[in-house]
Amino acid sequence: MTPQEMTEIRNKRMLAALNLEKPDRIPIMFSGQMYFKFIDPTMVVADYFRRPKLVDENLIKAAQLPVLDEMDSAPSATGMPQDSYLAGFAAMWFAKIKLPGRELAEDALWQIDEQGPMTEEDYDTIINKGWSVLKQELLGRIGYDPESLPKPDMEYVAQLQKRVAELGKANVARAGGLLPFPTFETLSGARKLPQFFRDLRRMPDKVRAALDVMDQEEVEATVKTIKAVPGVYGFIGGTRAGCDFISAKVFEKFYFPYYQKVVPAMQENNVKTWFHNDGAWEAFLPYFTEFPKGQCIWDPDHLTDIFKIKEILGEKMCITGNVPPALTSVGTPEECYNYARKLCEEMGPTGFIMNSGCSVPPNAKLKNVEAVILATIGK
Amino acid sequence: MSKKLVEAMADLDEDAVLAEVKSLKAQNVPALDIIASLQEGMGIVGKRFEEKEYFLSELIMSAEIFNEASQLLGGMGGAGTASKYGTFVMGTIYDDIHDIGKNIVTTVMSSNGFNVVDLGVDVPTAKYVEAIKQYKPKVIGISCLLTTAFDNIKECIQTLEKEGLRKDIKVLIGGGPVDEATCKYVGADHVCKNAQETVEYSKKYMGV
Repeated sequence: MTPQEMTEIRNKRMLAALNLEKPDRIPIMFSGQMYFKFIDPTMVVADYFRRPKLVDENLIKAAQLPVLDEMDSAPSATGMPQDSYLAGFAAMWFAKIKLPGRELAEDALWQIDEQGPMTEEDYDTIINKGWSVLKQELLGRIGYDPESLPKPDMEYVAQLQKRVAELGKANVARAGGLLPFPTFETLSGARKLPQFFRDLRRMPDKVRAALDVMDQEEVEATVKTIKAVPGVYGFIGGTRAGCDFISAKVFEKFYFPYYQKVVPAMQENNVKTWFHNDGAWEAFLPYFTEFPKGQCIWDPDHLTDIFKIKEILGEKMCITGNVPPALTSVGTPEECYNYARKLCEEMGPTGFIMNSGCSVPPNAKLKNVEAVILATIGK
Repeated sequence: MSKKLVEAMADLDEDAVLAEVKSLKAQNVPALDIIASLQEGMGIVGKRFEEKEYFLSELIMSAEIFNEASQLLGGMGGAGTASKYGTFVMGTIYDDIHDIGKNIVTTVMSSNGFNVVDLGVDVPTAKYVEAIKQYKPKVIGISCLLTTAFDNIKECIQTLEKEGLRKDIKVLIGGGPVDEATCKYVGADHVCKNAQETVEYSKKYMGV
């Protein structure tokens, strides 16, 4: 079979799951950014930034290892300078990034360092002058300058893409790259979480007025981005609004309205909404039933009960998940296999993609990753 | 006990809390009595959290207000020893800079009458060893939000054993990815799912 034919099979499998149809088997999206360590265990997380070409090389090799080659998703070899990418990612919260080998130990995971550059008076700037005006100012205050960051070598990126394509992996496209977060998340990063929660209590009307302005601008930005970079689904992350974090009242008033605006806007552009939500969301799941069948994907980490998601949303949207990072790092292959089998039996066969509960951690063991894959393919 | 201050703290009315603390201070009410009212209010916050009237957002906010009010009295240390139950040492393990969970736990422990020594984030083993030798806590807490830091907790606990400090203390761990399997792996005594569980476990262990 040629790589193109393999890609076709894998795409069909993924699309069937996303469209709530029965695939030939449950698709597997269990790729890890740190799988280069499976090829060379002496490498550390800092190499992800320091020796990116060797990392890409080893990620491609890891994708061809026995058992791991059953994975449907492509390896995380992108050729993009990861320090630039992560600085941009952190800037979405108006935060800075701390990197291993720079501010952190060689084999530590990179981490977001919140800055909270926004003042109480800045709410008026959002309301009176617009979010985009303040956004630029806030990026300036944290010293974020994308122009000063390393740029990708486009010739190398093209070569790498060709090599990844030869692996015959699925290439169901993600629209728009990194889409804006829900505005609640953005604002809480701009203010810093404790201060933002105090704002919600002290001046809820002003916060809501600012969110109204932001909602409109960010939905417009999302549409513009997915038009520029088309794809099947757009990825929207949520990290600080679980039902243990905020009340249903706060969720309804300050968080969910963004979803109610962005999901239809994406649907109008034939793009599904992929909710990647960290934390415990059980109590908020019923809100998501209002979205059209097959339009959304629910991607939890291990803290939301995935079987509850199936019970409430299984008829309406594809679910992915949720092998806990702790299980792949300190669990045994047998435990990983049993967990994955249970997921397959109770979540599949339609509308389910085997995935990790958030990322597969850098200290995941190869045997554990293999166990998850073997359980999914029924071996 | 100031009913007004207890209620303001419990209702998370920041302006009222700060105004009442200033007023009581101006009336020469002893700092320890003012702290006791704040602690009483925090106790109600904890109860409301257990009853799901309050959420983590309210706990985070209560921690901020409590600390701000304590600062008006010169901090918890400046107020004299408000501790009823002994010392609790806590930090986020090295290579991990997450602080929200740790801050919630330290404040809730403090407001429940423990003398809290907060070691901060990215805490090396040597700092835990030093703090245990200096403050002689019965319980210590290690916070961790990253699976990559599990081995660091393990190393820290093993060092406490080597130093002969482990047998007299209970080591509690907590944080997003931490579960029973992690507890076993790192050699801790108990996983705390939230701040309230830390309070209950510590009180029980200390025979309160």
